[in-house]
Order: sequence, then structure tokens, then C-alpha cells
Amino acid sequence: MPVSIKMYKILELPKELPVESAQTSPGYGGVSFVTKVTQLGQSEYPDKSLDKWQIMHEIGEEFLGKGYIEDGSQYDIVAVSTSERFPCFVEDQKFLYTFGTKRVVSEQALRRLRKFPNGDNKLIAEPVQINLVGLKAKLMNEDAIIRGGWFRRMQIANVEVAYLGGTSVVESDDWDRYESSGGTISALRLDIPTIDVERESIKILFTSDGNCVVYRSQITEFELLRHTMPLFDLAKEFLVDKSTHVD
Amino acid sequence: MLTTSRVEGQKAPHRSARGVCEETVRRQASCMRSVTVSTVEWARKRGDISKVLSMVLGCIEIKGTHRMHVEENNVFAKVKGRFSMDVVKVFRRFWWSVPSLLYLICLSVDLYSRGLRAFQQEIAMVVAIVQTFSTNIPLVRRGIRWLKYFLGFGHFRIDATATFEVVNVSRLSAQKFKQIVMGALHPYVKGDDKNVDCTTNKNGQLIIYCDYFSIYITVDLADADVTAEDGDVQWLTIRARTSLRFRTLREAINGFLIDLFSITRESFSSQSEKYVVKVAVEGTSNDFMKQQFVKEFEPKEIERFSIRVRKPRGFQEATQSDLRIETTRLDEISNAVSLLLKIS
Repeated sequence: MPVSIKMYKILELPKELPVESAQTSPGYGGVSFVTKVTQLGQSEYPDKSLDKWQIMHEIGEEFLGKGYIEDGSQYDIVAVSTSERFPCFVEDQKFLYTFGTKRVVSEQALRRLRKFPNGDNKLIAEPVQINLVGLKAKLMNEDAIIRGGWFRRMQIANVEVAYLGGTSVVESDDWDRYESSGGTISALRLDIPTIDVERESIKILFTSDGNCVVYRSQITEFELLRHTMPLFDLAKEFLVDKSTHVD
Repeated sequence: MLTTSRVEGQKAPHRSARGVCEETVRRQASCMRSVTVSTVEWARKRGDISKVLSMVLGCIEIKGTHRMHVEENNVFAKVKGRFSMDVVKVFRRFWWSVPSLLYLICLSVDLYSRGLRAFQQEIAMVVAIVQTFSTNIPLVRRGIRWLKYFLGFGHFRIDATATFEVVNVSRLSAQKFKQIVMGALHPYVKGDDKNVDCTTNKNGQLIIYCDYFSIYITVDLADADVTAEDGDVQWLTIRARTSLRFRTLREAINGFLIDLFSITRESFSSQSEKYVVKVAVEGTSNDFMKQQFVKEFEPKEIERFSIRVRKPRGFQEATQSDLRIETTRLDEISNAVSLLLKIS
């Protein structure tokens, strides 16, 4: 099963941990949800000082049904809820990386912390936007090999989204046509060679919103960070300034 | 004495142009200028006019280029190469002005000596002049086409597609689109429902027929596989097709289509949009565009071609079947009308 790790930019760091969001209500029943961040320790990655935190995110969904408890009494169920727990890493008080969960869940959790802070102690982190055209040029001088790319918003008749793949796809004329027709690269497919000759190279999909999907099952925290951290370090040079970002 | 200085002059560039810095080039330019002057005197004595001319012009060229960074070793050769190429370029481009001038002189002499009576014999000359001008000056060509189209000749096919990125639109409402089309038609017809027919086909697409411009509009909604902050993103596509005369076409694009697209954009509060307008001449052979744009290949040999022109506000494209404008800016699509002047 692929593992994803997503990058966020920290705008405001909490004064102390744990930090909690305000109680938010989804608008049905009398339920309310909260998101909480606690300290865990240090990451397994030795080359960089990464603080490891845990995010506990409560989510609920509208659900209509009947429920019985042991004494036989009957209740109407209006919603079901669950809480998701996943770790995140904080680098240099500037960047935050979530992993071990679905991308939607981590986005929701950080949005709740950002939009509904509880008092002055708050964690404000927003999604990043990476200029993948610039990153692509940089990556061509690195070890990683580009095996494909997703394109969006090109000014080409009848094509809204396109994927181009191949062993040396960046050199093709079609890549050039898609890249230079006003659109953006929304994701890059990369192969990162492994030191172990017997294992095949690691496949990675890196999207322009800083999500890095590693297609390898049973990957340890150390391995994941070892392969993705250098990539994020390169990507930091190509962050798009989102001063016009509306939230 | 003069001969020796010329020999030196030829060697000097090789010696001094090794560096690429501006300073070197400037020093060399001044050195060469003095050398050239002495060469001019030498050549004049020998009566070799063409050499004199090329040297003088070469000197002027050096004056112009001495501020540039020159990367090649032999600056002199480069400058001379540029100069000779320029004459060829100018000649290739403007050779036709010589025969046209001769035609004009003959015509005026004839008219002056023999009066208007001679004019019937000069028709061939006039035709030749018009022909020469229209083949060699694009502006004249476009002017003639514009006149032809404006008088009502020619029928044009238009196929305009607008794609909007919209959020949280579950289904297409026929009533809403009818309202939008009526809104865009407002300047031409007065609130008459009979002008707009609206049906839904089995795929859920809306098909609208608008009587005034005899235009077919297809509206389609597709999932974009992207999630935004406040919901799923979808592509809303509006495609309008019709075939019209030049003047009506201009009205349809500049008035109706621009209104239609801008009303849709506002009422769905779309985040990003793309407009593609394809235009073609009605009733031409399949090889028409190939003959128009590709000279060296036989139309049968060509499977497809595409000439893509980057404009500051979008792209223009010529293909084997039509001319296109692809842009994200709505006002740019009105250029499709002037694009038609490139074909006839």
C-alpha cells in the first residue's frame, strides 16, 4: 500500500504543547469535534532535527438509524464519529510533514486547527504550492529520474488534463508542448534508485501541493524520511508565494 | 605602404578577438576602423568599387556591434557574414518592388503620352501590379479578403468551446441555462421564449438551439478528479457551433458568445476558464488548409500539420482543418474574426 507524506508551511507555532482546536460542530445532532496535537519525541531520521508530534483528529458523518443499548432502550442515531491519530514531523519551526493517514484527513485536521483556534495557543499551518516546472529542471541534474508528469490547465483544445510517461519523457516534443502551453505540471512521477541492487527503484509521485506518495508497502519511518526529505529540501527552493491565497 | 597596413588589418582581428569582454571588442573596432579607411584608399586606387562598398558598410556594421559581447574568435568574419547575409535577405524580401516600380513607370508613361484611351491596353499591367502587391504584402492580401468578406462572399464555420472549473454543481439545470442564453441574446431579440429551444439528451447534456444566430449550444458537466477547499471541482463545458456569413459571424462572436461566456462565468463563479474558438471556411475541399499553409509538400502527402503561434494573451494555431485561438482570456476570442483574414 502506498504511503503519503505531505508538506505544510507553518505560519504560527504553538507556545506550548499540547495544542487544541476549538470545539466545532458539524451542524447536526448535539455533537462537537476537536483536533489535538501532542508531543511524541524525535523522529528516526538522524540527518535532520525533526520533532515528532501526534495529531488526534475527530471526524463525524451524518448517519440515520436506530441503536439499542444493553438495557433494551432504543435511540435514534443521527451521526457516527471516529477519531484519527497520525504523526507529523516539524522541521526548524518552519515546515510540517504529515503522514500515516489519508491526505483528506490531514488537510481537514490542519484546516480545523487553522480556522478554529482555541485561544492564543494555536498551530497555523497552510498547504504549500510548488512550482514543479522549476523543480523538474533542478531534478534533471540530480539522481532522481523523471518518468512521467501530469499536466493541467493547458491551453490546448479539448484537453483538460494529461499524463505523459516514458523512460526519457522529459525530452519529448509533446512534453515541451504541454509544459509551454500556459498550464502547470500538477504532479511528477519519479524513480529514485536504491543502494540495494536487488530491490527495484522507489517509485514516487510528487504533486504540486507538496504531497509525496511513495509506492512501497511496509516502509519504515526512517526509510520514508530518508527518501523524501532530500526531495522536500529541493522543493523548498520552488515554493510559490501564496500571499494572494484566500482562505 | 598601404598594402602592408591591409595585411596587418587582416591579422589584427585574429590577435585581438581572443577575449570575449566588451573592452577588447571596442579596442578592436577602433583599430579596424582605421585599417578599413586605409584599405578603402588602396582599393579605390585599384578601382575595385564593390570591395570599397563592402568595406565601408562593414565599418558601419562594426560601429553598431562594438558594444555587444562577441563570443566567436574572429569578429571580422562574423561581421562580414552578417553584412552579406543582410543584402541577400533584403533582396529576397523586396525584389518584387523592382518589377512593380517598372510596371508603375510604364503605366504612367503610357497614360501620360496616350491618355485614358490607352487604358484598355494597360489592364494587364494593372492586374500584374495588384497581383505582385497581393502576393508580397500580407496587409494588402488581408485588405482584399476583408473587402470580399464584407461584401458578403464566403461562409464560415465556427466552433467555440469554453471550459469552466466550477465547484459543487451537482446537475445542469435546463431552466438556468435557458435564462443565461436569453440574457446573452437580449440585445438582438426581445424576451421571446420561442427563440431558444432547450432539450436534454440521454447522457444528461443540455442541447440548446438558438434561432437568431442558428447556433447549436451543447452544455456538459464532467468530474475533474480534484477536490478544492469547499467541494469537488467539475468541468463545465459549453460548446457553440454554427455557420455564418462574415458580418453575422463577427456579431455572433463579439456580442453573443462573449456575453454568453461571461454570464456563465459569473453565475457559476468559476475559478479558472479556457476558451477555444475554431474557425474554418465552409464549402472548401479537404486540402484547402494544407494548400494554404504548406507549400513544399503535396496535400496528399500531409497527414496532419499544426502551426502554433504564441501570442502574449494566448495561442493561435493553424491545423489541417481549421484556425484556432486557445486562451484563458475572454476578450481574446474576438481575434478569431481577424484570424479569418489569413485564409481565403
